[in-house]
Formats: sequence, structure tokens, C-alpha cells
Amino acid sequence: MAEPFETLAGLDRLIHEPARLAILTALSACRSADFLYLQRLTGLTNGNLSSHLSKLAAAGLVQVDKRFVESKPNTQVALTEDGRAAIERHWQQLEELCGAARRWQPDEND
Amino acid sequence: MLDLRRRIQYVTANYGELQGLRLVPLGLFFFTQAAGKAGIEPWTAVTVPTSWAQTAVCAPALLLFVAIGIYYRRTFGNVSPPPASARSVLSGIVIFGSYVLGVTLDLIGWRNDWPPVSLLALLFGLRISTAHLVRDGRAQMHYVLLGGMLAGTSLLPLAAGVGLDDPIFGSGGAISTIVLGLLCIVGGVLDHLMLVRTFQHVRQHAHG
Repeated sequence: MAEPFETLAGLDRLIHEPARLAILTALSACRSADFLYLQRLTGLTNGNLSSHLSKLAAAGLVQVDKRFVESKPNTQVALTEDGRAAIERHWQQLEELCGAARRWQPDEND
Repeated sequence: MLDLRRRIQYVTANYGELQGLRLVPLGLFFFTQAAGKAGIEPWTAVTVPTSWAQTAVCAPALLLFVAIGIYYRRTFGNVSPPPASARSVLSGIVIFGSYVLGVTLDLIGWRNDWPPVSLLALLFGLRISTAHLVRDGRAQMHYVLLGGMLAGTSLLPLAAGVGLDDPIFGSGGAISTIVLGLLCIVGGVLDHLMLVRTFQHVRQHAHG
């Protein structure tokens, strides 16, 4: 198994950014969430959240659907299949990393 | 961080149920019903509203339920929950079937009110306790305790030596109705606090 530090360096930074990690994690637990829910959850401004969602959509991890509900704009966000697999894989990496870090012992020759 | 994952996923997957403030008006309505059953003026027990006075007791609770739902939608947004698992669908069918069977058997008097135990309170209380014992890896102890209390009220007729139709200790009597009210209010407020605290926690993390 790779050293925990190597695993840490290999984490996907697109996903691991704290706000995006929270967004993807929330979306992994539902079919879709609206913009307001994600904004309230992360505390980001409209512009910041839109920017994060654009990056995730460009990477094919989320699908953003803009529509009008009762004449008001409504944005629904959902994970794509790739996004669902990516966030699951990322959390698995983090769990393995935690386990490896707990077991890690410094080399006696260091 | 792993705890963060569980909290985010739990709150998002159960977002609808964690809108606990919606239950508070229902809990208050149960308290008025308990007062009515105990004969405390001016409250009146309502099964189906058949007069304007009785409707006046039910209507505020329903209106508040709707209004608080709108509050959640406008304040916290909206989530489409994940599809129900086959296990939860089956569990729902079994429980609903048990309720219907229990009520039907009581209505046709199959057991002539013996033993004097409220099957409905027992089933409903046990269902709430067990359903919240381990849910998505979390135990919601307030529901476990309150559900247990509700199941306990099913034994009140036996303990008090009264019939199931007793207005205080009987099936659907004042005491079990009060426990139902407590379940709604205490459970609802704690669920709302869990929602709000998780949002606060995630915001702190998201901002690094």
C-alpha cells in the first residue's frame, strides 16, 4: 500500500476542495438538490457557488438544470454517474488514508 | 472529516423528516386533544371535525404545518430524496398492514377488549423506537425513548384496571395523546436543531 503521504498528494484537488467536497457529498445522498440548499449548506455566496458548480459541471461530475418554477428561476443540481463514482472513490481514498496514517510508523533509518 | 461525510449525507437524505418544526403544531394539537379527552374546558376532542368549533381546533395546526413547510423551502431550499430502498418499502408495508389489521380486529371486537392493551399504541411506539434505533448509522435516542414511552402507554389500561375506552388511560386516551404530542414537539425541535447545527458545521468546513 502506498505511503499515506503519497496517497495524500494524489488526491483529486477538484473534489477535495472543502466546498466542492461538501457539495458532492450532499448530492451523493439525494437525487438532486436546488441551488438554495447547496448555498445554505456551504454558506457560499451566489457567485462562489456558481463558480464551484461550473467547475464541477465542466469536469462532468454534476449536471446543472436551470428552469423556472412558478415564474421564479430554480436551479437543480444532480450528480452524474461519473460524479457519483468519483465522490465514492474519493471518500474511500480518504478512509484508507486515515487508516494508513494511524498505522504509519516512521522508518528507523530516517 | 469522515464524521462530516456521515452528517452531510444523513441530513441530506433525511432532509424532509428533519424539518421538525412542522411537527410542533401537530404536537400542540395533540395536547388540545388530550385536554378535551380529560374534560378540560374549553377544549374538545376531535376525531373528524363535524362543527365549526372543532374545525377551529384543527385548522390552525394544519395551516401552521403548511406555513412552516414553506419557511423551510424558502430558507433552506429543496432536496429530492433518494429512491426508497426495497427494504424500507417492505418495512412500510408490513407496519401499515399491522396497523390496519390491529385497528380492524379491535373494531370488530375480536378480543372483546381483552387483554386491555392498546395494540395501536404498542405497534406505533415500537415502530418509532426500532426505526430510529440505528438509522443510517446514527441512533436518535429521543425517538427511541419517546417511542418506548408511547409503547408503554399501551399497558396503562391493564395497569390502571380500566377498559380500553377509558378517556384518560384507555386506547387513544389523554395520557397516550400527551405522549404523542411530546413526541412531535420534542422530536421535531431536536430534528430541526440537528439540521441547523449540521449546516453550521459544514459551513465552517467549507470555508476552510
